Amino acid sequence: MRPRTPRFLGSLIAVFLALAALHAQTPPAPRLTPDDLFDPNTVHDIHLTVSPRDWAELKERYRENVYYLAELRWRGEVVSNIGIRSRGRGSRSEAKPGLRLDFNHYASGQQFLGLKSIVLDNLTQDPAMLKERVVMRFFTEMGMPAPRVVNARLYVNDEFAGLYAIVESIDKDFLKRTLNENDGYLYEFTHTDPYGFEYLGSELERYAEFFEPKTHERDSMASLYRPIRELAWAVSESPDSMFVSSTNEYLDVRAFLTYVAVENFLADRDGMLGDWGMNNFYFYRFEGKNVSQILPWDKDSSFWAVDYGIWTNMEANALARRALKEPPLQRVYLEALRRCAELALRQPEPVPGIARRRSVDETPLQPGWLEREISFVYSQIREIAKADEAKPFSTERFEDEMAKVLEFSRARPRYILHETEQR
Amino acid sequence: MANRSCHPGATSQIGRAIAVAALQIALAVPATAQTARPASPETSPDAQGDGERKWFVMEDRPSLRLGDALRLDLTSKIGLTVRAAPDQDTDAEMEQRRIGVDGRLFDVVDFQIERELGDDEQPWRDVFVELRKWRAVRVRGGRFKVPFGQERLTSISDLDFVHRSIASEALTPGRDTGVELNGRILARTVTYMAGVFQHDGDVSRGGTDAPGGRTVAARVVSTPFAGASSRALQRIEVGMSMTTGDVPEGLNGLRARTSDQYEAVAPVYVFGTRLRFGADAAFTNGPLSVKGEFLQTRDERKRQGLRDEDLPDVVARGWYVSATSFVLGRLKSNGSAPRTPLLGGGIGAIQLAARVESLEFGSHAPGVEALRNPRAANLLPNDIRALTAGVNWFPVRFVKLQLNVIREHVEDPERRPDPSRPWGTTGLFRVQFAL
Repeated sequence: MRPRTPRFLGSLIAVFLALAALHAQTPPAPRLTPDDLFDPNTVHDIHLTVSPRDWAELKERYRENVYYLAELRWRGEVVSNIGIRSRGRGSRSEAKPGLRLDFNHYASGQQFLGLKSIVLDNLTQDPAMLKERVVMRFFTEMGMPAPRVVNARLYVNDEFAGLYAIVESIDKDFLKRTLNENDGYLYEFTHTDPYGFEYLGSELERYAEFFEPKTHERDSMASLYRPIRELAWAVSESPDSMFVSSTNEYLDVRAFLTYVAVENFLADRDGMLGDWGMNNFYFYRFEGKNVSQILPWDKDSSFWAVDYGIWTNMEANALARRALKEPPLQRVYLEALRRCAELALRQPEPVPGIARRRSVDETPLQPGWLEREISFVYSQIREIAKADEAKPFSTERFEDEMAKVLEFSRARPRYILHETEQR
Repeated sequence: MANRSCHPGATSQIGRAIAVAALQIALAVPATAQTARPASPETSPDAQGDGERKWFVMEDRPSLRLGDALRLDLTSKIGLTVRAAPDQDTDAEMEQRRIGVDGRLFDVVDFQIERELGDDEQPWRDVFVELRKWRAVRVRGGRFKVPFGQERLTSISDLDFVHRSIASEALTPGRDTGVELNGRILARTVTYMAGVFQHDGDVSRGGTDAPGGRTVAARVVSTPFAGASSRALQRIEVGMSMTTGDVPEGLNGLRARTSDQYEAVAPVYVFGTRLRFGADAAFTNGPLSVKGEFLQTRDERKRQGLRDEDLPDVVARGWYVSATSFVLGRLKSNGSAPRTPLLGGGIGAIQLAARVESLEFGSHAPGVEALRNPRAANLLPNDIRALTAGVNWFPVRFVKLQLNVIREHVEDPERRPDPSRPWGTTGLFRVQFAL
């Protein structure tokens, strides 16, 4: 009998060579990017490892901004040595803390997918649990820079902690992505008292109470706040003949009115024209310029009512009040509202051979963009929201609010079109 | 991570402090004049009474007497420190406003009560009673300094520099409530102190401000060459100290600040035993004095890892060597006053001082990436090194003026007051009245 060893060895070598060749031909796994993290087509699984004592303490001290060490796991990517802390204003919660994840808190320069930080919104102020995501998407569709928002199941030490939203931080990375520059002055508007761009006098400290610098923090008060004071002066004190030109030097009034139109279309009670004065926005002054841009933040209070008036709180804001006295600017505002309505009603791209889209004046064949967007997100989060035992409202309340939001998406465009046609 | 502490209201306290200081000087001037005369306190015009039994005596300090039964010495210390650094506002702070009583009862019991005015959190400094029947064994009970660290056990009014070394400030426990045995033995060549304390001292609190557990401390000081023929050798003094106690779970590791109060080392998570060791030596000969001290603290970190695992101990080591020399005038042998005071025909005494020091925090975890987070197995080490040059002027009894210039280096750029500057400079000026 012939020995079989040589044949066996030969087969082994062949298999080995074949595997080696296969390995050599297999392309390396594509590197994950922020686009993957903010992919809206999936609900992400975020795993945090935190010392159990730290997690208990973070919940206990949820009103403080104390950082704790954590490790993040997402789609096989692991980033250690990150700082997490409780975040939010009214949304702070002991049972379900909103979190800020700072990848560079303990190691300057450390990033995750090129990001320095992200926010995990606990969705405690929105029983529908999707307003933030839909509104930010709406801003983006309207051509305005807004943070990306997607949903996630959060697991802390492998225990399900609830349905969260991953929100892109408004920071230098965001500015680079949306405005293609990031060395200007970025401020977070901090609501202390009702304020609407009124002139507060010459003392710069008065403006510092409302605008917290997020870049150039160590610059002089003059560098930080003189342009804001000048804007307030132009808004409140400039002669009528110079109002538009002098204000435009610091803030594009048309862009401001478009921003306000989006918020008002979406019936946001806690935004630029909120019930308690301006709130929930960032303010970015471009590099080497005086002109600034408004950036939206925290839109949990939107979708308030189908018949939310298009002139709500206009009189309370010095800039809106004065701008809308100018007929051309009023037309800008109304036109922006109409564009919002058109976006909300926008039909899907027509498939060849199927009936073409009708005009916005007719009953659409299919649900509009806003309704489709809401339905899509709802289908993603429904079961997770039901399983979220940390949410501060019942599942019935979630369903009721969802129905209300869907109804808003259907009826609001008609209401707006009707209101704007009256003018 | 790091922050800068401040002293709100310090400036507003200065006025009140100056008033108290003026009162002290008013008391001090007659006393200074008195020391210029060789008259005994018993015949001094300040002494009041019937000639045999004086109830008030003005010696080094005001003293009340009740025959041989009771002696009460009134004490007071006031220190105003001005801090200046480039790119920072000059800051003035009343670091000391203390009043107190030193007393003795029937020549057997000593007691001391001292209170810091303006400190609402912990106003009491020393509050203790000591049974001093035997020189070899004395028993002390109350609140006083845990016997660890040569410099920590030196009163701030007797320091050669405006502040203690960074290592002493960071690694020594300070005061606590406890019981201590102390005494001098072996022909007075060895002094010992050993005690049990309720906590780990009031200056070794970490980020949560939770007090440490029961702490045992001991210190031995010896003059090993007391029998030598050389007077220089006789004055060499060496000491060793240790403490051991429990440190509560949490962010309770020790912290360290630079001279401008910047927290260069933030507390880390600890749990288990805190063990301290210290060794020191001092030498004085004529106008020259040299001192040195080594201090080490080791904190356990049981179950302090992210996944509840034990972490390697966090170890802090620090040392300093300092030298002083009188270049003009001298102090009296008891160190209380210049031999030729400003109001007595001289200019007082002027002393030059220099100190070099270092403090290092870290943990030993080979092969593990060194990180800054407070649960890191391998803590990224951070060293603080400093050089201090100073001038001390003792113009008259009770008064000392000190000027220090400190050059400091924090190794980790991210934990420096200014990351772009490896070395920082701070100037300190202190005016002190000590009665």
